[in-house]
Amino acid sequence: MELEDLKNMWKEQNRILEKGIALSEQVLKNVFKQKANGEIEKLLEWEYFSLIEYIVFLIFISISTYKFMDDWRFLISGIFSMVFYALCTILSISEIKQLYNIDLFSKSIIDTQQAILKRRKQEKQIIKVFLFIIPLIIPSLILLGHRLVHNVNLLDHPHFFTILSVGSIVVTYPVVFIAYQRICLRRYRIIENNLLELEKFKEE
Amino acid sequence: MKVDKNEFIKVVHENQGIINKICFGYTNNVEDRNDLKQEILIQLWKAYPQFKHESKISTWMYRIALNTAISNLRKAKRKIRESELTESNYQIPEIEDDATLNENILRLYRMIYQLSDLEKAIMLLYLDEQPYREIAEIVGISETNVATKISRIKSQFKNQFNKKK
Repeated sequence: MELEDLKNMWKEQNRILEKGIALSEQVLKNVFKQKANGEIEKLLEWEYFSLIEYIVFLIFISISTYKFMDDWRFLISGIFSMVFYALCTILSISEIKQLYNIDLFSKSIIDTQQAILKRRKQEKQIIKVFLFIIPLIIPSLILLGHRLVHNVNLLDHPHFFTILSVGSIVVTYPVVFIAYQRICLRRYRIIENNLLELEKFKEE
Repeated sequence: MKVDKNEFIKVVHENQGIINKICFGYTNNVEDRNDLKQEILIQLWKAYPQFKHESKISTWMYRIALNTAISNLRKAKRKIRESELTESNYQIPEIEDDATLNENILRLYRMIYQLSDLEKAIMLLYLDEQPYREIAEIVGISETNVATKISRIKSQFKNQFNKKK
C-alpha cells in the first residue's frame, strides 16, 4: 500500500474522528476553570518557590544585619549574605519575566522548544552556582541566626565558631557534590543532548 | 481583555480534528490522550486572547497543540528516566485499539508513534495536506529540509507497511 492511499484513508478517517470524538461541552467548561500544567508552568512554579525562599532569607538577614550593624564583623557578614540573596532575587525575577515571554504560538516549534530547553539549562546552571556557594554562606547564617534567635554572640567563642564553620563546610560540600551529580548533572546532560538534537534536526 | 467563551468553543469545535489527531499521534493510551487533550485546550484558551487573526486559525492551533504535545512527552520521558526502569519501560508501547480507528489507520498511527517528536509533527501536518511552506513555518526548518524528511519517512513507512503485510 502506498502512502498516498493511506493519505486518502486518513482523510476519510478524519471525517469519522471529527464526528465521533466530539469534545463535550463539559470538557470545554472544565478548561475555563483549570490551570495549565505544562513545562513552562512547572518552571514558573519552581521559580516562584525559589523567589519566595530568597525573599524570606533576605528579610531575615537584613533584620539581623540592621540590628547588629554596630559590630563591623556582623555587618560584613550580613552584607556578604545580603548581596548573595539580593542577587538570587534579581536573577529569579528576571527568570520569571523570561518564562512569561515564552509563548507556544508566535514562534516555530523548534524555536519554542529551544527557548524552553535553554531556560531549563539556565535553571540548572543557577542551581549549580547556588549549591556551591551556599556552604560558604552557612557560617554567616549561623552567626547572624544565633545572635538574633538565641542572643548568643558566637564570635565570643572563636574556637567553637571556627569548628562549627569549618565543620559545616566540610559536611555540606560532599552533600552538595552528590546532589549536584545526582540531580543536576544528569538532567543538564539530557537537556544539552535535546538541544543538540534540535540543532541537528534544523540543519539536516 | 475579555474573551468570548462561546466564540472560543465554536473555534475549537470547528477545528477539533487537529487536536484529536495530535493526541492520537503523541500518546498511546486513552488516559494520556485525554490528559493531553485537556492540556492542549487549556493552552489554547490561555493563548486565545493574543490570537490576532493574522495567521490561519489552523496554523495557530497546530503550533500550540504540537508544542504542548512535545513538551508533555518530554516531561513524561523525564518521569520514566527518573523512576526505576521496569520491564514495561523497555518495551515499545503499542497504541491501544480504538473503536473509531480502522486497522490500517491504527497501523499508520503506530508507525507515526515510533517517529521522533519533530518527525511526528511533520508527518501529521503532511497527512493533513498542509503545504510544505506551512509545514516549514510551523516546525521552523527550510522547505527543502521538509521535503527531504518527508521523503525519508515515506520510504521508511513503505518498508514497514510492506514488511508487516
